[in-house]
Amino acid sequence: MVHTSLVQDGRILRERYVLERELGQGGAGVVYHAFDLVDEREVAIRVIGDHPGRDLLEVGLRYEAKQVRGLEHPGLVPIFEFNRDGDLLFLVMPLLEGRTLRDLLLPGPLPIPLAAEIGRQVAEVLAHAHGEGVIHRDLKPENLNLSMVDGALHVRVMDFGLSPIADVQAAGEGSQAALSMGTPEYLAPEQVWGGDTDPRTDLYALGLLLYECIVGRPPFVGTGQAVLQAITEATPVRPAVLRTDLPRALDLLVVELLAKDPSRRPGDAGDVAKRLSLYADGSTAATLLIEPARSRGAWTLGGEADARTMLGKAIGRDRELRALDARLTTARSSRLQLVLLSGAIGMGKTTLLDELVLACQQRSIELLRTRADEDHGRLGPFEEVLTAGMARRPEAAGDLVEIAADLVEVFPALNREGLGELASRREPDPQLFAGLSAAAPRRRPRRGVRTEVTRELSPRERVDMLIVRAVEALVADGRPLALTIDDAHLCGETVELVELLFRRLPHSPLLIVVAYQDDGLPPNHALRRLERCLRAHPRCLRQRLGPIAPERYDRLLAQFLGSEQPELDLAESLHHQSGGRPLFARELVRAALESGLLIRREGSWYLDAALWPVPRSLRVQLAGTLNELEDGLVTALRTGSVLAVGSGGFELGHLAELHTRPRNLLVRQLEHAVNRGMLTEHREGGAVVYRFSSEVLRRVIHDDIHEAARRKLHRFCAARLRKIIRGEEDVARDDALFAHLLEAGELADARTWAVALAQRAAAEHRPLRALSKLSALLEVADSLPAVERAELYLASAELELMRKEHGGALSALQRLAATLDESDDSRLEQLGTRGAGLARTMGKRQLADRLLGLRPQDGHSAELELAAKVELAALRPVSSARSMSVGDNHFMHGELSRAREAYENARRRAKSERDLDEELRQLCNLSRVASKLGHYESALNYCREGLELVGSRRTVERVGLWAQAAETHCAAGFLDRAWGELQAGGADLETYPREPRTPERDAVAAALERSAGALFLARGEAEAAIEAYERCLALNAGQQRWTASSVRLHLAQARALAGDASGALRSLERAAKDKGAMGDRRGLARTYCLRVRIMRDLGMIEDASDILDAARDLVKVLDEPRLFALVHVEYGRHLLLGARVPEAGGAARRARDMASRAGAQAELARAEELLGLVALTEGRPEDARRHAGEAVTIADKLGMREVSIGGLLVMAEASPAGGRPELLARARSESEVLGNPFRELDVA
Amino acid sequence: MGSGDGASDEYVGLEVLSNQAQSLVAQRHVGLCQLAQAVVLTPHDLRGALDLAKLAETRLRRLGAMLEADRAGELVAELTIRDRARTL
Repeated sequence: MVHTSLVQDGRILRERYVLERELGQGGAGVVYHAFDLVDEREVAIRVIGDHPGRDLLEVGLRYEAKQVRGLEHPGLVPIFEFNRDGDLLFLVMPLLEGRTLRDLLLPGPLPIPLAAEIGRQVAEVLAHAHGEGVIHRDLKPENLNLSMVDGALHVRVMDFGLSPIADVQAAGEGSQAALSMGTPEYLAPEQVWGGDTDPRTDLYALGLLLYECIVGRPPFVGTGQAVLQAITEATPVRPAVLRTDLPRALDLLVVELLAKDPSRRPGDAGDVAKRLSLYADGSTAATLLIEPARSRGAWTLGGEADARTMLGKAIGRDRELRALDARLTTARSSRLQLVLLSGAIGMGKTTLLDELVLACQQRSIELLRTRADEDHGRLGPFEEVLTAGMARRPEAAGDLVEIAADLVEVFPALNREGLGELASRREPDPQLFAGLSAAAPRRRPRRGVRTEVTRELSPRERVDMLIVRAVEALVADGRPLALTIDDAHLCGETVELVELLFRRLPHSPLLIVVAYQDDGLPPNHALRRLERCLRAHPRCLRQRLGPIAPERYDRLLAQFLGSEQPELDLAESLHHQSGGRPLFARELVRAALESGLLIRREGSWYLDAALWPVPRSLRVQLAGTLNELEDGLVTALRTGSVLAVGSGGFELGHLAELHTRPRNLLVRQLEHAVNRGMLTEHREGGAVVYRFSSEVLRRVIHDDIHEAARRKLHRFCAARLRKIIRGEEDVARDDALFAHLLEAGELADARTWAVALAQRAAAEHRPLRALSKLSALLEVADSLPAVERAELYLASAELELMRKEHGGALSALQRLAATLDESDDSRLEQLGTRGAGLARTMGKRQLADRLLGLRPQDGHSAELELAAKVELAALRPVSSARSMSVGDNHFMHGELSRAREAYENARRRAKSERDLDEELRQLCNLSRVASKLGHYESALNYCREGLELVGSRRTVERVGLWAQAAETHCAAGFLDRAWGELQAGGADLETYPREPRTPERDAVAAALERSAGALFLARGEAEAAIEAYERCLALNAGQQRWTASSVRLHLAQARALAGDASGALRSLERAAKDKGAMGDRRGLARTYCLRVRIMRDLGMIEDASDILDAARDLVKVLDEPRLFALVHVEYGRHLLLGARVPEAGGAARRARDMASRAGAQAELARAEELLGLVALTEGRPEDARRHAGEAVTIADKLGMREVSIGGLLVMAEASPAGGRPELLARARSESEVLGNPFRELDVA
Repeated sequence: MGSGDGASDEYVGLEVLSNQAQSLVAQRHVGLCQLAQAVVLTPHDLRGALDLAKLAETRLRRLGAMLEADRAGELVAELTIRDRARTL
C-alpha cells in the first residue's frame, strides 16, 4: 500500500513530473494531479507504493504498460509512461475531464437506455482490448470516465494495465487478499476462488456494471467475507425483478453475463455490444452529467432525514410526499392503503411515483409498477403486476396450486414464472375463458365477503377473484408490497378491480397508488365513483396535485440547471410559461438548453430570448388534449388565445364580440374548458375574465391559427385597444397593445412604443418593465433599419446596467457592436460612442474600442497583444530583422552558441581584412555573448585581448571595450571594478572631441552609458540609472533598434525602481512595440513581465491578465528556463491576488523548480518569496518563514532589495508577535535605501 | 478620536499612507489602507468602519485583488452582523 507521507505534494518524480495535489486513493495506489515539466502539460499520475513482491510487480506493470500503449481506441485511457522514482512505481496518464460512473450512480439507478449505452461503449472497448490480448480484470464504476464530446456521451475505460497489482494482491492470501483490494463486490467468482482469469472475467464485470446501472446497487453487497461467499454461491436477484420496466432481452443478457461458470457467459464482448446497442441511447447523459448528484436524491428511511431528502425530485410537493410516506408506513403494518393521485397533465404525478419507487427501494419494500391503457383492457395492468410479482416472490405460487391453471389461462405470461409447472398438473376451468370473452353480466362485488362465497359467480367475477387470490398470495408472508397504476383514467374498469382489492384485502401489507388525470373526467367515470365512495374512508387518501407555487420555481430551476444561480426573473418567467406544472417547466428548460438559448454567463443562467421555446413533445401532448375538444370550443379558445396575448387572459365580452354564437353557448363551452383545467375563471372589475392555465398552452393554441387570420385578429385588437387607451396611463393595456402590435407585424409602431416605454422605465428606475418588451421586439426586428435596432440594443444595455445585470448588458452591447458594422450611418457612430461609454463603465475596454469603431492596433487593448503574439509565433529567427547582423540576430533569439560562431567568423574576416575597429567591435560582441552565457572570465579575456590588440593606438573602440568590461563585471557582481572601468572609459572618451558628432563615438558613448545604467541599477541608484539610460537613448537615436528597445526595457526597470510607474509603462510600451516589430520574443516576454509587475503596483490586477496570458504563450514557444521561471512567478503572484491560492502555489513551485534547475538565482529568490506568500495565505507560517528566509538570503546575496523587502514582510507576518519588530525594522531600512515608494507603502 | 489605545494615531497614519498611495495611483494600496482603517475604526465607530470596509471591498474587487477583497468582505459581513445585533 502507498504511504501518502512518502509522496508529498510538490515532490518531483524523475525530475520531470511535479506532484501538485492528490486526486484520490484506491487499492491500486494514489492518483495525483501533476505537471509535466518537459511537455508542459497537466497529467494524472498513479503512484504505486510498497507492495509485496514489488520486483515481480514492476516487471508485470512494465509489460502491461507496453501492451496497453499498443492499444488505440478512443474509449481507452492511454498510459504515457511507466517508470520508477526511488521506491515508487508510477504510471503517467492523461488528466481527464468529466465524471466517473460512480458519481453518476450516487443518487440512484440510471435510465435504461443510458445504462445500455454505457454498457455498449464499454463492451466495444473490451472487444478491442481482448482482441489484442489485454484483459482489464478490475472493471468497476470508479474506472469509467464519462464526458460529453460534441454533444454525445463518451465513455472511457481507465486503469487498463493495472492487473498485475490485482494479481500480486490476489497471490497474497487468497480471498483475504481479495478483500484487501477494497472492492470485493466487483470480483468475478473465478477471481475469488483463485482460478484463471480470461476475457470472460471482464464480461462478468460488465454484467456487474450493467446491473448496478439498472438497479442502483451491485448484486451482492454487505461485509467482506459474506460478499465473497455470495459471489461464488448465491444467485443474484434478476434485475427485472427490481426494475419492472427493464426489457426482457436486457434482463437475460445481464443474467448471462453474471453466470458463475465463465463458459456459460457470452463468448465475445463484441456480441454483447451488439445486443446492447438495440436499447442504447445516451441522449439523457448530458442532463445527468451536468446535474448535481444531490438533485436526483431519493427518500431515505428515518424521521428527520426523510424531511430533508425526500424532496429530491418532486419539488414543491413536500406535503404530498409526506402524506404518501405516512401511508407507506401504515401499509407496512398490514393495513391496505389506497392513494388516489390525481392532477392535470404535467402536474408531476409520474415524478411523485418515481420518488415512491426510490423510497420503496431504500426501505426494501418491493414495488410493482404498471400503467393502464385502452389497448390492453382492464386486465392488462394486472397481468403485468402479477407477472412481475410472481417473479419476485416465486414462493407465492405455493398458495395458488388450486387456481394456477386458471390464472395461466387468463394470464398466459404467468406460464413462465413458476406457475407453469403447477398449471400443467390440472386443466383450467373450460367455462372460464369462454365466459370471459362473452358479454358476461356485470355485477358489483358484494362488500365485506371474502373468498368463501356461496352463490354461483359469473365468469367475470371469478376472474376478479382469481386476481384477488393471486395478490393475496403475494403478500401472504406479511412482506409489504407497493403497487402503482399510472394513467388509470385511460381504463376505468381497471379501477373497479382496484376497488375490489381495497375491499377484499383490508388486512394486507399493501399500498396501492392509482395515478390519473382528473381534468375532463366524466362524472360517471369509475374513478369519479371511487372518489365519491371512498371520500371519507380512513384507508383511502385522495391527493390532488395543483400547480406549484412560483416561489418553488427557484429550487425547481436549480434542480434542472445544477448549482449555478439562475437569473433573477428566470424562475418567474418559467412559472408564468408553465403555469406551475413541473413537467412543462422541465420540458421548456430542456428545449431551451438544447436550442442553446439558455446559456451560462458569469456564473448565472440567462435566457437569451424573449420567450421560452416550446418543444415539439409538449406541443404534441397539448395538441392531443385539444383534439379531444369539440370544434366550437377550440375556435373560442383560439380567439381567446389572440385576445390573451400580453395579458394572459381575455374578457368574455370581448370574445363574444368576435363570435357569432350565442353568449350562453359560449359560456357553457368555456365552462367545459375550465373543468378540464385549461382555463381559470375570474371576476375582474365587473367583467368575467378567463385566463389560460399556462402560457405554453395559450401559445400552442395561438400558433395553431393560420398566420393571416392571426395577424388580422391582432390588428383588430390593437386598433380597439388604441381607442380605449387614448393617452390614459394603463400598464396592463399598454402591455397588451404592444403584444398585439408585435404579433400583427406592426414593427414600426411597436418600436416607437417600446422606445417611449424604455425612456419612461429609465426615468422611473423600473428597468424590468421595458426590458422584456425590448427583448421581444428585438427578436423579430430584423426588418427594422440598423439605426433603429441599434437604438433598441443601446436602450436594453442601459436598462440591464440599471438593474446591475452585467451579463445582459454585455450581450446587448455586443449585438449593438455587430449592428454598427452593418452601416456607415453617422447616427450609428453616436450610438456606438454611448455604447462605448457603457462598456467602459463595465471595464470592457476591448468592447468599448470595438463600439468606437477602433481597430485593435488603435487601442492598447489585449487584442494588440494577441495580434503581436500570432505574428511573433509565425516569425522565424533568421528572417526577423533583415538589418541586423547574423550574430546579433542569433543573440536576440537566444541562440548564443550560433551567435558566438557568427561573431567569430566576423572577427576572422575583419582580421584578414586588417580592419582593427571591426575586430574590436566583434571582440566586444564575443564578450557580450560569453557574459550572457555566464562565462565571465572568458568575457573579460575577450576585453583584455581587445585592449592588448589596441595597444597604444588611438581608436574610439577602446572605450567600447572598457564599457563591455564594466558591464561584465556588473553582471558578475563586481561593482567596484565596473566603476573603475567606467571611469577609465569615460576618461578615454573625453579625449575625443564631442563635436562634430561621429556615429562611432556615439555608439561607444551609448555603450558606456548603458553600462553605467546597469551599474547604477545594480547599486539601486534608480535616478542615476534613469539619467544614464536616457543619455544612452539620446546617443543611440535612430541607430540600433534592438539595442534601443533593450535600453528602454532597462530604463523602465529603473523608473519602476524609482516609483515612476507611468514613466516606466511608457518606456515599456515603446520597448514592447520595437521588440514586437523585430520579433524579439525573449525581450517581449521580459517586457510583459515588468509591465505586469508595475501594473500590480498600480493595482491594475485584472488588466494584467491578458498581458500575462500573452507572456505565458510566449514562454511556451521559447525554451528558456529563466524566462519560464520569471513569467510563472508573475503569473503565480497574479493568481494569488485573485484568490486562486492552490493554482498560485502550483505556478510558484513550477517556477522554483525551473529556476533551480537553470541555476537562475534571481528568479529562484522571487519564486521562494512567492511560495512564502502562498504558505502564509494557506495558514502555514512555518513554511512561509522557511521560504521567505530562503528568498531573503538569496536576495541579499544578489542585492535584490525589492525581493528582500517582500521576504522580510512575509517573515514578519508569519512570525510570532515578539519577532516582528526586528524584521520590520530590517524591511524598513532596506526600503529606505531602495527609495521605491511602492515598497515603502508595502512596509508602511 | 480621543481613545487611549492609540487608535487615533493609527488612523491618521493610515490616512497619510492612503494619500501617499493615492498620489502614486497605487489603487490596491489605497484599498488596503481603507481596509486597515476599517479595522482600526471598528471599536469606536461601527457604522464608519462598515462604510470603509465596503469601500475597500468594492475597490479591491474591481481591481481584481480577490484575495484581499474577500478579506474585506469577511469584515463587512462581521460588522454587518454586529451592527444588526446592536440595532435589534
